[in-house]
Amino acid sequence: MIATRLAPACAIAILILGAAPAARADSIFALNLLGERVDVGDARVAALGGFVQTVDDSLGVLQYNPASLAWMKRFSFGVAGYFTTDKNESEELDRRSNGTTFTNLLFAFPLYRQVVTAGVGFRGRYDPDAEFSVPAVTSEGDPFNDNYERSGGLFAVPLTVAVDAGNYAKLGAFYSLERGKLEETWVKDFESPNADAVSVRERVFKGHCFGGGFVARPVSRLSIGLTYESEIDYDVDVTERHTSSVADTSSTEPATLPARMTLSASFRASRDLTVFLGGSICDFRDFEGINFPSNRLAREEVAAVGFEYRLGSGRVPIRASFRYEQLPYTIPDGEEITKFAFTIGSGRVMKRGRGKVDIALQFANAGSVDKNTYSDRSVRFYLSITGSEDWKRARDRRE
Amino acid sequence: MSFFSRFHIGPRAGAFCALSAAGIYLLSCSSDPPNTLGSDSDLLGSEPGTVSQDTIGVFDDTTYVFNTPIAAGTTVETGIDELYEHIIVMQPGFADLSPHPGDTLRTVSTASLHLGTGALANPSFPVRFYRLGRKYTEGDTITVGTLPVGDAIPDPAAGNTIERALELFPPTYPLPPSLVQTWIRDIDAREAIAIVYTDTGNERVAVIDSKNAVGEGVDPPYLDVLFTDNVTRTYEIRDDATVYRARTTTSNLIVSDGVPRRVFVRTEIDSLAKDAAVHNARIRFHIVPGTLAVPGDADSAVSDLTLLLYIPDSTDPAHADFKNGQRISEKLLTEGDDVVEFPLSNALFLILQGTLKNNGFAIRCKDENTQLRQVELYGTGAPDSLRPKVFVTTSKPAVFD
Repeated sequence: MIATRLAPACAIAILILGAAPAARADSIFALNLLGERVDVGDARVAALGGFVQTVDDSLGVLQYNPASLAWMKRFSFGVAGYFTTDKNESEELDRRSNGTTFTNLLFAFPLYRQVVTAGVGFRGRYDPDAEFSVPAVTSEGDPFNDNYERSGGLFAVPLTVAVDAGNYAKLGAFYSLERGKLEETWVKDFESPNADAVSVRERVFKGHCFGGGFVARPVSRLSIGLTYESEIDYDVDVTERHTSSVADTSSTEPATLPARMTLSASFRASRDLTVFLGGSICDFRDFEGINFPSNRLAREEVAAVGFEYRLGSGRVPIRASFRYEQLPYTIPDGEEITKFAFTIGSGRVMKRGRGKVDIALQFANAGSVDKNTYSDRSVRFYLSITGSEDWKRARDRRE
Repeated sequence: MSFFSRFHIGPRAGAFCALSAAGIYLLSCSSDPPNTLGSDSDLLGSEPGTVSQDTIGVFDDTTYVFNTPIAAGTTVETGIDELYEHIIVMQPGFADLSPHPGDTLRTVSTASLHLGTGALANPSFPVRFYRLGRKYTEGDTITVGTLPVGDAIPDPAAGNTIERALELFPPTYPLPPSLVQTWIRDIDAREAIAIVYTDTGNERVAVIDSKNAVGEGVDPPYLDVLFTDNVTRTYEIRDDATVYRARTTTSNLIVSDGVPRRVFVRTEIDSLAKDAAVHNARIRFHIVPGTLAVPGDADSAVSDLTLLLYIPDSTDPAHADFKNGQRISEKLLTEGDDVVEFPLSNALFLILQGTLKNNGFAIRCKDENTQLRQVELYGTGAPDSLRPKVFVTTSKPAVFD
């Protein structure tokens, strides 16, 4: 009854992660809708390079590749989140902020013998909460601040089906409901008794996405994974509200997030060491719909390398990875933004292999003050808990 | 044995390496205090609205006079001071005729007006009694320029001279029996009396109790009548008031009470964008030095005056709705003030929104018709630095691309 034993820990984790306030300014590069489409929640995958990796794992329910669900032969669940401490820098900025984000919750269950597995879950696309303040003075010297706040997020409910076609192929497909709301607020903050002015734009996104993936093992030591996500066509209800209500507007606009392709491979170099490689491409130059300046768009590229080494007789896993990203937009005048992340992690499998806890610690740096005028340096702690239970055995006990 | 298999790291060494790496990274991150971030609006897809500070002129500035005398006071006054002539108006009432309807058939032998002059500060106060030429009810307007309009009322006890004096004793002032007889018998003939000070070269004011005076020692006015059948009656003074007539003229704007005068101005609000948010707005008037005054009664002189700014319901001062409107703000003036500024941020914003009427702004004394007081303000005819102006800080809505 590993799952039963994990339940309290899982509930506590959900409470901690879910009840925590929304993260503030995970990254100043997340001030817009673009990029950072998914931060995979599973701490093992994160430690091995992030969502671009596919890992053979019978408890890897939180993986990004839908085909990985084919490894789930029992009723499985997973919950994950992370805590981030984030430091933003520019010539005018030196700020640290902290936030906790609940990213993944997924349940998987076998549909047909040991072959077909289905899953339903929740995935937080990314957390774009952010705020900053720009001081200014009027022509007569009265001070005020232009305060910018952004909150909300995009979320998905993926419905996944995976087929285990043996060691040589595992296939998966998903359909996800995409929802989200982004609210931006500009506040002209004057000193009392002067009145403030507020302008709010609220964008409610509704769309859906299809995708699929497979994992092949052409030789026993090598696995290859491929994931494809279709573009997401959003209907965006845009509402602008201002202090002066005569300026209020309301409209519906389309937005299209481009498709993304992810390729991964893992190679078991020895009994104790496995090496992981992965990468993805998403051409955000095809992005449409929210008036982001097209000359600022770029192709998102992600590449990661990781390894997992099992220590000693207890076979404690030590994981480490390095990831390179090119963010899908440029700052300030066409300069590409690169992000580097170094992640380490470990995990602990519960007795009888029915549950596990994984942790990862990631150190990342995005952009540079010299090149991009902004930089973002973060430390992120991942925690994921997964468990499984054999439905058939439970039924037998009830009978 | 493969290349990778030759690596073997102990658990303690691994943990040490991981912690060392974390420590080095964290130490490289200073935790400086937060600062502000400049926005890159291109990336945000939005930018804050622009802030403007404007000075808006006023036009059509006018002073409007409302001839409503102060009637609610416990005293009434006659005399003159530096700024005003004070005139007492009294309207005899004959409510006592109801229980004594036969009085209308009697003949008046003598009649006199009793006034509370027994404690007059300045006796032998020369006055004349005039027939007002109309009835007076408290709240009525009296056009002071035409006052009095009727004949002087002679003193039958002094050879019918029209010259009288307010004295400590006796505080009774004879009236012609025929006049009072007419008042008793003809309801339409009951016009009011005006008591006018005649020594215009000598600025002084006599103050006596009004019909509103109550309490121990007060002496309100009444009419005392002796009929030829030796029946005596007293009849009340139904309404009384002090009418103030300005003795000076000015080209400045003036807000006053006693002679209620209100200032009305229009502002060039159309120069502001309709979708602007108003952060601050105030209308500034420069006070003409030395004109903040409560003349005539040194004992009750105060050094401050509260003015009230409102948006009238009508732009026509002749219309009754001009007297009413949306109260905006009030301001206490104290001696030595150079300017008076009324905040109108919210009002201006609501005008731009169309919630309030753009009917201009009017200024009046707070608690009007209660106390003689005034202040002069420079108008649009004054040098530019002294003209009334509206100072406004606005901002446009944020632009979301």
